[in-house]
Amino acid sequence: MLLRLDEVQRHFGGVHAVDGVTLDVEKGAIQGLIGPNGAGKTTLVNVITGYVPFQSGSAWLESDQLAGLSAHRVAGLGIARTFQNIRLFKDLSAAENVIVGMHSRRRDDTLAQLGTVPAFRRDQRARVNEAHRLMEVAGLDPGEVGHRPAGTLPYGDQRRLEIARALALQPRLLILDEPAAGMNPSEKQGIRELIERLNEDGLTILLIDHDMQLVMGVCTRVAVLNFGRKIADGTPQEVSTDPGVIKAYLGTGSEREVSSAPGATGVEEVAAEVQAAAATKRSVEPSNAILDVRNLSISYGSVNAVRGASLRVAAGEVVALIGANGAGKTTILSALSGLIKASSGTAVFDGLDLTTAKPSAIVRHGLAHVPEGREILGRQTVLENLELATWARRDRAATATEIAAVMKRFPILAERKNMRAGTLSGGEAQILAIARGLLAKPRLLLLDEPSLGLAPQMVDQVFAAIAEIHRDGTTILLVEQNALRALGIADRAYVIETGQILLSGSGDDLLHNPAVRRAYLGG
Amino acid sequence: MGQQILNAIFIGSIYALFAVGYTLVFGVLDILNLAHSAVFTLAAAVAYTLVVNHGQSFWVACALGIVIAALMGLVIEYLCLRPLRRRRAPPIAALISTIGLALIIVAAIEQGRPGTLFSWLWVDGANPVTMPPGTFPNPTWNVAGLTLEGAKLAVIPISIVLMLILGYVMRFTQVGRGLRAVAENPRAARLMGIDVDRMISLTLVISSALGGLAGILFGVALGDISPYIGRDSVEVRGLAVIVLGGMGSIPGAVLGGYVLGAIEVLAVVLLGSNVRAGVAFAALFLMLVLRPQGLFGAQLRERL
Repeated sequence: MLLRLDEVQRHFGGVHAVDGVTLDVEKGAIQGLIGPNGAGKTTLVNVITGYVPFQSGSAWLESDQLAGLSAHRVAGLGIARTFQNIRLFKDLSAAENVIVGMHSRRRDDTLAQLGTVPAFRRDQRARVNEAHRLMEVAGLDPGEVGHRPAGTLPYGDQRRLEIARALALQPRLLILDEPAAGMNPSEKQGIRELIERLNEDGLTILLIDHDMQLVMGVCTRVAVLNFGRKIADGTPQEVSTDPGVIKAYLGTGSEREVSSAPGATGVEEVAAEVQAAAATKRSVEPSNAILDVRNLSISYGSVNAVRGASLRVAAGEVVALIGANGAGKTTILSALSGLIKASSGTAVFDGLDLTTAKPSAIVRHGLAHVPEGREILGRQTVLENLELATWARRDRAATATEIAAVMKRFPILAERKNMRAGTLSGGEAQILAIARGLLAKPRLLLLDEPSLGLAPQMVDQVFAAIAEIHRDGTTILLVEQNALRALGIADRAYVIETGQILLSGSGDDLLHNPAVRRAYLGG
Repeated sequence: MGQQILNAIFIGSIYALFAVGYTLVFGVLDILNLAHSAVFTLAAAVAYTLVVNHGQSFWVACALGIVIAALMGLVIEYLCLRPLRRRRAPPIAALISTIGLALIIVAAIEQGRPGTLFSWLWVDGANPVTMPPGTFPNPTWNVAGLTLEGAKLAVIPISIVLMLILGYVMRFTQVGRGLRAVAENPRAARLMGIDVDRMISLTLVISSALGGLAGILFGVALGDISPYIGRDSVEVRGLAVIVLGGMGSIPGAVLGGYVLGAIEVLAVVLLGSNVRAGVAFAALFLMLVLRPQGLFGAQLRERL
């Protein structure tokens, strides 16, 4: 056993980010670690590697206890990692980044570095050669990229360079935190081959990724986290057919049942619920769309987050956009509300070109966006947040009664109206964000992850509110991790994977489509 | 002593009025607008030139001085801030671009002599001047051993009323909520339909109009107008005031202005007039050591 975790815990305030995880990683294994957004995967890695202190529990790397060690001591013991958000030294050259990674296994030679000691110069040449070798291992051409500042490399090469730098530690265990995030399929294939090659050379790897095809394809064992707890651990086959895992990924119609009896109901049962709900709903693509998005592409620097997505929403519909984390859902919504610019394609909302209009003009035209993470104004009171939400309205006189009506619909807002919004709980803040969206009196409401991070009864309340808003005639485009829940409420849905619309149809059709499960589970 | 207290309130009003505009821009944009003191100077210079060289009445000259100061707010936004914001330049870049504009404004005034390019703006070069007597009413009373000058007395209610109006607007009106929304989270403000660029322009217009008014009041009431009044009299003091009050806090800037006015006068009484220039630095330094978030500032939090 190379790495052994025993009841590792880490809480942040009241949030049990990692709640007693026990895990063994065998020498020579490629251990996968998966779980929905917010499951605690990165926190667990941060605890193991000393970036975040242990709260309780213990961890051993072979015979070395890791709890209580600082990050550089853990690195010295031989655990190297890459980061979810690339953290290279952007202004140093690629080769220098790798040389920095060798630091912890070299003797302290600060004085030698100051002088021109011949021994040091020899040593320096050896380091450069070693850096070039490691870059080759990671699939980079040292002659071409070695001298370039790391920040100027293409995104995929930066990921590879992070791996090369991690290898410079000569680690016993390499932890890769979403190494394939934001990559296209062929780049992902390259990462997969790299992982396999490193493993063949005897390196033990702990892999975190949301791309299930990658994880299920390359790992020898996979552990699944949900809400900070390990819910499954086994071979990829065992894990991908585990009903509890399927439910954690697809969500369920009623979260409370799950918490009382984890794993008791399978996906078929939930599918039946959705089928009943979807039976009455339309599934054809509308011809008279109020929102018409065609071939939309969006990139962040060198990352293509969305590639040629097309979707349509008719007046009065609820349309869901589902897909795994990082698929590009939030990016699409941000482009529709004008927060980010599309690189190509068109998006028209009721005659207004969303790709060129200012965000304020888009809101005035009747499109409101309730963003992921709510973005309420914490320094202002609840009432002030609501009053501000009517900013773009021309009929200012009517808004006082509407604010009163909203507070009647959501009594918690009336109770808290003079409190600063920053003191609200997550669920209350979400209610406030939705109420704020409504007060803009939109014809189209974009909801991004309205149930993320909420307790089950709060999720019910939020979805009840969404259904009610829809009954009142508001068109809704909904992005949601909890796919079953979203499919249950939506007339139609689009499944998005790595920035592309994979398929569309009614909730029922999609649920029985193997591609949906593949988008979520890679199975 | 009574005279000194009166002086403290008078100079404190000027500091407060100047610093309120300073802190307003910082609160909304997280940028120190170092052209603020140049706007202070420019408004006073414009008012003086309009009266003395262009034969305008005092009141018209003051009104135009404030209007030009407000327009300078737009110049600062369109020239120094917006282009940098578009390119996501760090705040230090905006700090430097506003210093640049300040230097240009001061140099333009300084170069103004009869027959030069800027003679329409200013003809006295680097020399300090005073509004000619009689251009504005300045009755003087002697009450209980105190000399009360009308011009100085008027500064106090004008400043206080304007600051109260600004406080009311920020606290209780939709525009004020919008400005605070932009200050707290521009992204969220955009999603609510607030045109962030317009709110920033508005912030600079309000800030510069207040700064310009402070300059005119200073120049008229103290009888000291020169290209250097902004740089020498309020630039560093304004910074000290907003640090005292808490960066970005309007009530803090008001209180800070009066506190600085009071300690300056006190220092002069106790230690002599040659310490005056150093007092602001000392106050700034002590505040940063003892309470870096200022009197009204939020607790500084470490960002991860």
